[in-house]
Amino acid sequence: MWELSDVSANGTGVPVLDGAAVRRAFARRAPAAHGLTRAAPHVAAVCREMAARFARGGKLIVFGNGESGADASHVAVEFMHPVVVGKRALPALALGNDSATLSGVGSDEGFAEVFAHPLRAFADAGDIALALTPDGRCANVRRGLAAARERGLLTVVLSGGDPADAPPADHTLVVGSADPLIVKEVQVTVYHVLWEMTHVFLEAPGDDGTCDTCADRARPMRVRQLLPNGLALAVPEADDDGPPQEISVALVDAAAGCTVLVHGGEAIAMVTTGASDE
Amino acid sequence: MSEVPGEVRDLYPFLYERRAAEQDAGALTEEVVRSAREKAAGIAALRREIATADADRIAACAAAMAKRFAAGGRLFTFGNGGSSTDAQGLATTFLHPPGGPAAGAVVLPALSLTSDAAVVTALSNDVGFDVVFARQLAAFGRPGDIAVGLSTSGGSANVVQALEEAARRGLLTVALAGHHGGRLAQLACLEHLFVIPSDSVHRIQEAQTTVYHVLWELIQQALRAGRGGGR
Repeated sequence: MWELSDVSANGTGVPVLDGAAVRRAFARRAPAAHGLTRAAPHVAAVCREMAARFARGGKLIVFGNGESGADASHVAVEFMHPVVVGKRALPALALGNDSATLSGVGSDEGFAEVFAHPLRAFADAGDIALALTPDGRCANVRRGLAAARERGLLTVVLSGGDPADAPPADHTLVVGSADPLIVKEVQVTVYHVLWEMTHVFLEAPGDDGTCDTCADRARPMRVRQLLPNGLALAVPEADDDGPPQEISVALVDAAAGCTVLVHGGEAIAMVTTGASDE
Repeated sequence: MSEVPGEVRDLYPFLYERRAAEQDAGALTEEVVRSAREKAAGIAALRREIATADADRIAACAAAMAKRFAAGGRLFTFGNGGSSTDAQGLATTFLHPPGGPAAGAVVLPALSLTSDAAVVTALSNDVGFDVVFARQLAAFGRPGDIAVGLSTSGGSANVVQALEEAARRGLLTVALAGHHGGRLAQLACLEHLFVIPSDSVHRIQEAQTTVYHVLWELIQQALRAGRGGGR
């Protein structure tokens, strides 16, 4: 058992808790924070790849243990429900939030499998796996990243301490501190920046012609059948045999057989007026 | 692919045009790198500002919390969204200190009120979201315990209500806020309030993390010294 020392500056002993102790604690944090400045080009490269995955429909799967587990939840909610108004919601989940699966897998297969199992069962090849660890020495994080790599996910790990301990991944961002609390504090900034800059790349009208506000492409679609209320069934021009999708044709004078330019489910212009054009 | 009519180009220029910077993918990356570095510098400056302005008050808060823990008090934490994960991180740091038993840190009783989806959804559905933390404190809280609420805006109604409930029940009340402190800055019953002077939710959360980590470090120092230990 423990008891309280004399924490009052008025006591006879040496004051334990005073402003100087707080200032020393803050000062200890300064060097590690510079790591992000050096790593910024690497962070930007990660964001570009993450944006490309999101643009193609990929989702983000985040995991970690302890405080890193709470960080995994933070990253997921950051992408799913952005604090900046007007930013698009991106699909993201934290594996640690499902305590039923976590304890179930842990009990049956061992705790080292708690992230690998759901990754094998739930992840798609186009997804992103983001792991957080203060020091890289977590068997379940390593197993999770290995499972994600096997499936073809983009793998990113935020680690700390000795870079040699970081789990294998496509991208490894290591905070240079042996103190897990300081590592975490820098990682919070790193994942905030990852979120923000992924959106910058996602919103830039890049090679894939994605839109500024919704990242949807405008694409020509052929109208198969007009429906009531300004709706129609249409198939992508590039994939005539694909399943028909419901679109709105309220803004255009569409007829069956014509091709329209569709953006965000709305036909925004006529491309050809009918099958006779072909 | 068919030709796109000119009027569509005029209506949706972003679909077809690229700004000069984006013609060169490198220019965009350069911009992102510059921005990331600005943010790194921003949080470093913010931490320096807090260390200068609030060091004595953080020390006093740590002393008050350590005193409560020493007398058998427990810690309850709460917040919304990203702050809910901070509440969880804060609680687990006290309950399961970094490094595990080998590190020798004092294990302290702590619970995040954000972790139980059944309780949070039941209270939200049946009563209202504003009471999700207050009701839990009413059930768990005892005089001598500690309540720590996190809100970047300082305006979260459920955090404000919980701190009011905590004060009524004799818990030590601590809050971390941002911007100008919002409603928390007006809360007379609140004993310790740390307002992170920033308008960025992200920088506020990053600085709040440091504040609660430093509180934990100081409390550990106090309690370890008390048991005659130390690393």
